[in-house]
Amino acid sequence: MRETLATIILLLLAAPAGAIDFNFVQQPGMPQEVVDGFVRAGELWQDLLNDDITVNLNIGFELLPPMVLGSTRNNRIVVTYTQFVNALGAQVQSADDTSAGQSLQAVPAFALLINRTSDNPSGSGSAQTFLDDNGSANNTTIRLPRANAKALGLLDATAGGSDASITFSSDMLWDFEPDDGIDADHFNFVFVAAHEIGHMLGFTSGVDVLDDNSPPGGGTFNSNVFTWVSAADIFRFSSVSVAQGAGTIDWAADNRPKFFAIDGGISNLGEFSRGVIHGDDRQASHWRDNQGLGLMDPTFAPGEVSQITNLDSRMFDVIGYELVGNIPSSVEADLRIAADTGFAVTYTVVVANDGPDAVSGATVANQVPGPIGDITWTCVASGGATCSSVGTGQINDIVNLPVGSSITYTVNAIVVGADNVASVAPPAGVNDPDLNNNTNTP
Amino acid sequence: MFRSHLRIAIPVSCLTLVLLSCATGPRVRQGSITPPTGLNEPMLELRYEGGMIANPDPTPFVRVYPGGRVMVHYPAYTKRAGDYSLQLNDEELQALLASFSNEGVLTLQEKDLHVMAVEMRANVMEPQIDDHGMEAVVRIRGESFIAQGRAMMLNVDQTIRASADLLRAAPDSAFESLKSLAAGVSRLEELARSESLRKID
Repeated sequence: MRETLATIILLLLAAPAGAIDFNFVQQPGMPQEVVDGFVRAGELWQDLLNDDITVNLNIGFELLPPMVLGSTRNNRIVVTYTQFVNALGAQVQSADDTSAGQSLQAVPAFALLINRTSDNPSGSGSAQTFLDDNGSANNTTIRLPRANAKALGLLDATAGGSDASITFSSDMLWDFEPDDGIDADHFNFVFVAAHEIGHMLGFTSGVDVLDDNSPPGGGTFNSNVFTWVSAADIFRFSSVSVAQGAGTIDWAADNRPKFFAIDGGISNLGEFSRGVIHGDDRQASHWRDNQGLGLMDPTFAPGEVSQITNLDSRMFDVIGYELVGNIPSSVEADLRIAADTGFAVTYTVVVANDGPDAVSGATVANQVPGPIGDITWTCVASGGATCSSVGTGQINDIVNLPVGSSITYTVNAIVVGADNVASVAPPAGVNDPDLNNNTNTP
Repeated sequence: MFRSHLRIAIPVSCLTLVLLSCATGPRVRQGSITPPTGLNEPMLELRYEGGMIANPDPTPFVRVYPGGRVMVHYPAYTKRAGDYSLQLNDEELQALLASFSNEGVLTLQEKDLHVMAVEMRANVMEPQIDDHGMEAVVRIRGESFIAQGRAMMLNVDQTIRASADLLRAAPDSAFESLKSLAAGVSRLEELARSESLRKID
């Protein structure tokens, strides 16, 4: 956004009761279809989030460097981890909020995996990760976009001043009307704008700052100065970080998988991108590319329709926003279970003749104690022995056994009368509409 | 404020005749690049990687050929979609090449950029403007680099990858090679928006 603009035009996107008010501050002369596109992008978020806050957003449409779709500037504030956790605790609205809150690391500090810092035990700037749990500034600080802070009540809900600036390239082909599909060579303006607003609302990762401020591009710096952990980062995990202890987040700049979880890292809900320089060539402030995870994927293709997915919604839910409606973001699955009322068992009976003489007409019997039923058996003879090949009920068979021969009976049966209880439970955040069929009752 | 990230690729065939001084110094020797042997090989190429566009058009954005011909390719998803050309006269071509014809640019290596970045960035910071990781990739080719009347480099083939943030910050830096590179990229971008461009059918 050019600071030299003499005048600005204010456009207040009036919100339904309880929804976000977007205060778009636009450049003079912006095409109306661009303004309308931003308004529609704002409406997508109003349909999703129910927070009574005002967001001040500078919007622009001008010539940007070639091939750049858009540029953003996000204004942030710093709070303590304790303030952040308390704010989240005051806004528990959904099952996801509950799960997320229960899995947070205890205040006042959080542990994280980090790398490429000057105090890395494996050597200054080393890519090897290490556990940083020393309670210093980067373990006690959360950096929030102003809009996210407003939603959490950590900044006045109607505070003035710019929350962010978003400028789109006037050089690109844009389709401003997503309802009838997106033209093949055009980009979906409304959803790309919604994506940028998503960053402004809090979908961001400080890992990009570490990625950028470590060798070869910068640094090295001490881990303590990386006070850039975002709200979304608190739900960023890897198998390595979780192995350090439940809830330990992964804030390293490297190409290992990192994922979103709301139960301290147990359940992988979706992967994040890993960083432009040391990761997968995509900013860590996104879902992983090419998996169709949601609006906050890192790239848009011409002709792409896009959508806000349940995964997108769940992230905004747990970082401090209230979802509209009956938690539409929640994954729903009607799980049911059924199990036999008896235990199936299979066992073998082996009969052999070790000599010195052959035997004809020997009786083999097997009286099984206890409540067992539905018995069937098969017989395999070797070394010249003979037996009945199949039978039902308890074994009672006449056999011939030459010296060195053997017979193997395989018995299948059901142990009846014992309680065989089985159950299935949905993971955290999954709504099961019918819990009556989740337990098998004998 | 900037994000610096350069990767350099210099092929084995690039023979450095004289050990050049560190690119981080404030003074760099200016020279000239002689054209590549193959007339169809561009001397300069500018393309972009990263950013928000999925599967971007891989065709270089701007190509400058030894005779002064400039080819500009706008992908199908831009308003100017298509191929364009313009012709530089010799004076204009030499002026354009001058930004890239110094030992600082031609010998820029990742470690040099690291030193520059550390000096330019005293504190941890985030990019002031977020371009979603967009990088400009410049490739410079020539038969030789001549300075002070002698060939100082043969088979020039230098590829430099620089983030938009770094190029934005370069004019305010103390590093002549970085400033020169940024000025050259800016000039190539200006050419791509020149009113003299003619669309190729």
